[in-house]
Amino acid sequence: MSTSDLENRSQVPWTILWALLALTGVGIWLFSIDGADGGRAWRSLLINFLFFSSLAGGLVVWPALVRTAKGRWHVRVEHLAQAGFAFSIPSLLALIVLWIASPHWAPWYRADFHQGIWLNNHFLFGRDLAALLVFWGLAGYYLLERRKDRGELPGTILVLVYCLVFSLLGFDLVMALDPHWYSNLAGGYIFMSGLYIAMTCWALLAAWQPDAAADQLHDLGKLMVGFSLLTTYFMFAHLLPIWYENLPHEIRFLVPRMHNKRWTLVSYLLLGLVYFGPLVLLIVEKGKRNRWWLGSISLLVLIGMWLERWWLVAPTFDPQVRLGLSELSLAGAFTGLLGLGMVLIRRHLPGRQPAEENKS
Amino acid sequence: MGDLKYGEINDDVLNAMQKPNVAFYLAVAFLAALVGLAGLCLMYQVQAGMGVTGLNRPIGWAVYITNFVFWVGIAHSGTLISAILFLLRAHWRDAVSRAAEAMTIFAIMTAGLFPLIHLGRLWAAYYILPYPSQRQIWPNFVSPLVWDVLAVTTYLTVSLIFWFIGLLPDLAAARDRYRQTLGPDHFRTRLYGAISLGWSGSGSQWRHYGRSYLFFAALATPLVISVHSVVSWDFAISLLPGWHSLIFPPYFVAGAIHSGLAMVLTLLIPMRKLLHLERLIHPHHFEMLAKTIILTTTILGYAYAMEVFVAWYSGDVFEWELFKWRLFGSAGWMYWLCVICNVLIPLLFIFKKMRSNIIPLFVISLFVNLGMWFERLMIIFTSQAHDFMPHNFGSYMPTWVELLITLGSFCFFFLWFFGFCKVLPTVPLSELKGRIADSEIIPTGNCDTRVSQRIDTEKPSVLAVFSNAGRLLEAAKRSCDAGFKVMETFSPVKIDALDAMLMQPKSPVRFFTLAGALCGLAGGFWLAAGTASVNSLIVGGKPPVSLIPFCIVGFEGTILLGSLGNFIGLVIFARLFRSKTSPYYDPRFSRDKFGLLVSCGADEIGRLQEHLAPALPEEIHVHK
Repeated sequence: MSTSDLENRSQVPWTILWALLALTGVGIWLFSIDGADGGRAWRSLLINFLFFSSLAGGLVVWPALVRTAKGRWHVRVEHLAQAGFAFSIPSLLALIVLWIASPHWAPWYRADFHQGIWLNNHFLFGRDLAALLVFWGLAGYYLLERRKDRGELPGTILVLVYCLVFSLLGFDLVMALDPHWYSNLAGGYIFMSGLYIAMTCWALLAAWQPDAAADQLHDLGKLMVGFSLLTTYFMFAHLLPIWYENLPHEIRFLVPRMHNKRWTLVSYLLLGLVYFGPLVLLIVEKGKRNRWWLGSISLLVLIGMWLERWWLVAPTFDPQVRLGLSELSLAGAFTGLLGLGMVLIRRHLPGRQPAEENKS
Repeated sequence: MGDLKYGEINDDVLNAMQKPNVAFYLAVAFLAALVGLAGLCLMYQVQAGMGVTGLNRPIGWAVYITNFVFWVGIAHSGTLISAILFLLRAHWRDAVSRAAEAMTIFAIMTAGLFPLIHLGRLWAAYYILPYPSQRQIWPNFVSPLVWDVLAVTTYLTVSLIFWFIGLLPDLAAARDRYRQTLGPDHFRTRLYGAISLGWSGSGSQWRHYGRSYLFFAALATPLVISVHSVVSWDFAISLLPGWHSLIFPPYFVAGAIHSGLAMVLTLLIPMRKLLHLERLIHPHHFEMLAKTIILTTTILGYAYAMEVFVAWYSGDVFEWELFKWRLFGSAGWMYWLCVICNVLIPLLFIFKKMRSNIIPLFVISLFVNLGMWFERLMIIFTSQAHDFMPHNFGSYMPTWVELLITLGSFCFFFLWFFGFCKVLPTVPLSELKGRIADSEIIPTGNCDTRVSQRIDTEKPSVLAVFSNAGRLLEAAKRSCDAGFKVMETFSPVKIDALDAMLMQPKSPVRFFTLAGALCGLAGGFWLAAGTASVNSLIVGGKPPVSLIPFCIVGFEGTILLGSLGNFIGLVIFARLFRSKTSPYYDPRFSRDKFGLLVSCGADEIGRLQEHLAPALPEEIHVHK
C-alpha cells in the first residue's frame, strides 16, 4: 500500500465529519429561513460569507505575499494555506445566493439613496461577483503556476487584487448596510482584518500538522500578533476621530456598538479577545513555539473574529444581541464546506519541494 | 560584498572617516551659511511678528507645518529599515541601515524646529510640557498637539538610543583602530573609547546586546506607525473638509515611508560614491529600496483613490466641493503634481532597468521628494482655503521669510548628515561581517550543560585566537566536551549559534523592558487622567478623563519607558558602565579575529591546548 493510499484512508473519517457538518448546518439554516425572522437568517449568510471568504481568500494570498517578500520560511506549511482555494466555489455560490435573496435583507434593494446607481442592487452584486470571480480566477492561475514552480508575478498581482476586491466587498457589503454611514478606511479595515483571520487560521492549521517545525510556528505566531495589532490600529483609526468629532453621520457606526449596553459587552469581549488577545497571550516566545498553546489561541481568536464579523453586521439592524441557530448553523456548515474542500483539494495543490524546504 | 574579508569591510568603512578634503569643508561652510541666513530670518520673524509670513485668514497653517509633517515623514524610513526590516530578517537592509537611521535622527531634529518656528512666540513653547505649573496651565491631553509633543519626543529619544546601541560595536572598532594608528592618548582614541562604553565584543555582551536590539526593533515598529498617525490626527480630528478623514493615519504613515525611502536613495547614491563605499553598498541594495517604494506607491495610490471615492459617496456637499476644487480648481496643479510625482513616476520602478540604474533611481527619488513635500502642502493648504462658506475662501503665497527658513531646514538636515559621514561609521560593520560569519559556521551540536562566562582572572586561562567564526565554535565545543565549563568568547560579530551551543539562558534584559513598558503604560494613563482630574476642565464637550484619547498617552509612555528600561538593562548586564574593556581583550577582536578564553586549573593547561589544537587556532596565549 503506497503512502498516498494511507494518507487518503486516514482522511476518510474527516471527509465524512466535514460533510456531515456541512449538511447538518445547511439543513438547520434552511429551516431558520422559514421562521419569523427571515431577514436575520439571510444576514447570517452575509456574516458567514464575509468571514469565510476573507479567511479562504487570505489563506491563498498569504504564501504569495511571503514569496513576494522573498521569504522562504513558510515552505513546509505553504500547502496548508493554499488549500484555502477549496472554498472558492462556496464563496461564489454564497454571493450569488445573497444576490438572489437580496429583496429579503439588503437595505438598498429598490431604495433610492444619494449614491444613485452605485447602490443599485444589480450593479452592486454584479460588480462584487465579477470582482470575486477575478480574484478566485487569479488565485487558481497562481496555484497552477506554482505547480510549475513559477508564479512570482501572478503572486504579486494576487496580493494587490485581494486588497482591492476585499476593499470593494467591505464598502459594498459592510459599509453600505447603512447607506448614510461612510468611512474611507472601511475597505482597508476589511482586507487587513481578512489577512489577520487568514493568518490565524494558517497558524491553527500548522499547529495541527506534525510536520510544521517550531520555527515555522514561531513565525506564524509573530505574524498573528503583528496583524492583530494592525487590525486594532485600523479600528482605533476609526474610533478616535469618530468619537472626537461626534458627527451625526459618523457616530451611526459607534452608537449601536458602544452605547447599547447589550452590544457594549460584545465590544469589550472583542477588545480583549481579538484586538489585544494575541499580544498578551502570545507575547512569550515559548507560547508561539508550542503547538498546543498556539493552536488553542488561534482557535479562540478565529472564533473571536467570527464574532467580529457578526458585530460589524448585526447591530446595524438589531439592537438586541441575538446569536442563535441561524448564525451558528451556517458557521458550522461553512466550516464543514471549508474542511471538506481542504481535504479533497490536497492532491491537486502544488507539490512540496524538498530542496526549498531544506533551504528554509 | 561576497569576496570581502572581515578586515576589508572594517577598513572600507573606517577609511571613510579620514580627514575630509577642501571640497567637504567648502560644502559644510556653504550649508552652514544658509542655516545662518535662515536663523537670521527667524530672528526677523520673532522681532517683527508672524505678519512677515504669508499666513493670514483663512490660512493659519501652511509652509511651516508642511515642513514639520514632511520632515517627520522623512524620519520614518530609517525606522522601517532599521527596525521593521530587521524583524522581517531582510538582510539587504544591513548595508543601508546606519545611514537611514542617521537620517531619521536628523529629520526629527529638523521637524522639531517647525512647531517652534510656527508658534511665533517661541518663549511660550514650554507651556505644552506636562509639568505641575502653579498657574494651572497643565496641558490638555485630549489635544492632538500634546500627542504630537509626546510622540515626537518619544520618537527622537527611542531612535537616538536605538541608533547608539547599533553603533556600539562599530564605535569599538573605530576606537581600536585609532588606538593602533594614532596612539592611546590621541583625542580621537579617547573620544571613541568613551562613547563605545568599554565594548569588548564578549559573548556575554553580545547575548544581551542581541536581545536588547530585538526588543528595540519590536518597540520602534509600533512607535513609527504611531508617530505619523498622531501627526495625521492633527488634521483628521478637525471638522474641515479634506482634513477630517479616517484613512489619514495609514495614509500618512505610508506617505512618510514613501518619502523617507526616496530620501535614503537621494542621500545614499552620492554618499556611496563620495565615500568610496561601492564594495559595501551595491546597486542591489538600491533596487530593494526601489521595490519597497513600489509597495508604498500602491498604498498611496489606493489612499488617493479612496479619498476621492468616499468624498463622492458621502453625499456631503462640502466634502465633494472641496475635492472638485482640489482636483480641478486653481490649486489643482498641486494635486496632479502629487499624483504624477508620488504615484506615476515611482511606478516606473516596475521596470528592472529603472531600478537597477543609478541615474533613474536618483532622479525618481528627487521627484518623490518634491511630490511628497507638495502633497503635505496640498493637504494643509487646500482644506483651509476652501472650507464651508464661500465668503471665507482664501489663498496663500509663502513669503521670502518662509522660503528661506524652509531652505535653511534642508541645509540644517544636510549639514548634520555631512558631519555624520565623517564622524561615525556610515555602514554597520558588525552586521556586514555577520553575513561572513554566518557562512563560516557549521552546526556542531550543543554542550551537555550550561557553560559559565564568568572568567576568574586569578585562575589560569588559555586564550586561543582564530580568523574564522566556525573554528571558534568548534574550539568552544571541544573545550566543553573536554569538561571545561568556564569560558568566554570575543568576536567582532554576534554569533547566535554560540549562545545555543553554550546553553546560555535568555538575557534578563527582557524583564527590564517589560517592567519599563508596564510602568510607562500605567504612567501615561496616570499622567493624563491625573492632570485632567486636577483641572477638571471640560474642553470641546469631552469629559476631562477620556480614556480613548488617553490611549495615545499610555502608548507613548509604554514605548518610551520600555525602551529606557531596555537600555538600562543592557547597560547593567553587558557591563557597559565601565570605560575599560574586558580582561585579556585584544583590539583585533573588533576587527577580524575571534577569541576563545577558557579558564582551567594550573595542571590542565596542556590538556586544554591539546583539545584546542584540532580547531587550528592561529595563536595561543597562556595566562597563568
